Amino acid sequence: MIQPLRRIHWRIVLGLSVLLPILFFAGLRARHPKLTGKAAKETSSAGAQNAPENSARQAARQEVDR
Amino acid sequence: MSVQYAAIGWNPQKRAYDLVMVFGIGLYLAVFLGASALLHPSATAETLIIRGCGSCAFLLLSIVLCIGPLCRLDRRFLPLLYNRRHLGVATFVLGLAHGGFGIFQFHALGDKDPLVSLLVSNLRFTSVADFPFQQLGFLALVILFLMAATSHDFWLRNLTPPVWKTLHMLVYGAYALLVGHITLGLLQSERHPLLAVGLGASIAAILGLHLAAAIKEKSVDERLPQSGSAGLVMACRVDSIEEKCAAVISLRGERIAIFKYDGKISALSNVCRHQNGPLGEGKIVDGCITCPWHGYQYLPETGASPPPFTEKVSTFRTKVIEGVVWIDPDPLSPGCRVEPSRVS
Repeated sequence: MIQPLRRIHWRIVLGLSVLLPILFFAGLRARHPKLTGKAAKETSSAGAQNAPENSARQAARQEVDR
Repeated sequence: MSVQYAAIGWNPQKRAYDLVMVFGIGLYLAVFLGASALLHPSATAETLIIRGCGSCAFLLLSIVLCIGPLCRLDRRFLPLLYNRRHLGVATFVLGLAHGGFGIFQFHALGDKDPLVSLLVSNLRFTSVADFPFQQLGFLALVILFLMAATSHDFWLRNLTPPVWKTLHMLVYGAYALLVGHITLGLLQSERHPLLAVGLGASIAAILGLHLAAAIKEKSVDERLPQSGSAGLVMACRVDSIEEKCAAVISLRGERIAIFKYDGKISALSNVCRHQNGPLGEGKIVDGCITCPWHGYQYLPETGASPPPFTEKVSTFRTKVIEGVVWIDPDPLSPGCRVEPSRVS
């Protein structure tokens, strides 16, 4: 009865061991693209497109905080 | 057939647990709000509440997720496990406050329904920097609500322990969604390294503890019992079992607890009917096997709870030959009486 749950539990933990670090570092890389040179080159064109949107987003947040 | 509702049975331990929990949450919020007000004097009260409740909820959820493996690694943490569901309900309440204030601050007073605005205002799923992180938080809150709503033992009995346990394992999904919510939300707009370090520490602690506990538990499952005649399987030596305690073996994917008491040996399923606690880690008290998690009791000869309780676990036939316990791997039906083997 309980063994299938233990197997599922183990697989969930293994899955999270892979997923969570990927998610965490992907988010960090998106926020700090200058951390790695490669990241800087890849995000330079995407970053140019997103820069106005990010600035608008930050400006909106600052406005709300005020 | 229905399950009767029974209200929460408050006792001094539960009250003490909840008092410490409420005090801890109050202290955290007071310190967080005070420090935030000093460091960010321009921030509004709503913003501080959103951040305070959100961070407290995530911290509480991280603690909840660490309790399980900590108890596996060191039994001294067991008192934290007994009323862990109270921490879970508190996590949901804090998350609800965070989400409620957030929806009001960012999505209310517009032309769309706030909930609709939350779900459709940002659909940039292909962007990491602008990912719709609020939807992730909303999904996590839905999961936490389901868990909080079914946290009472009434649902445990109604849904049966395996279904209830499967539902409550969604907590891992909620945690993953919240990591995404924070990484793709807060960490995209805040530069302070402490936030990333704190989130990374939470992930590392939870995954590390789970892996350590799994490695420890796996060693029990990997011990292959030796087969003997008449279909019996060698379990353990009698003198390896402490008096009024049990040895736990793994057989055909299930664990069996073998208890020694008053010169006798009895074997029954290791899984408590209440919340799947490890009966083999309990002791015999007043002639009954007592689950270490919540004190549910079973008679060793029958695997049935003493009246008026009705819980039953499967029993197993045993034989003691020259100081070695042999066990029939086929379980008998729950509550079936088995004459205990005599320790010669």
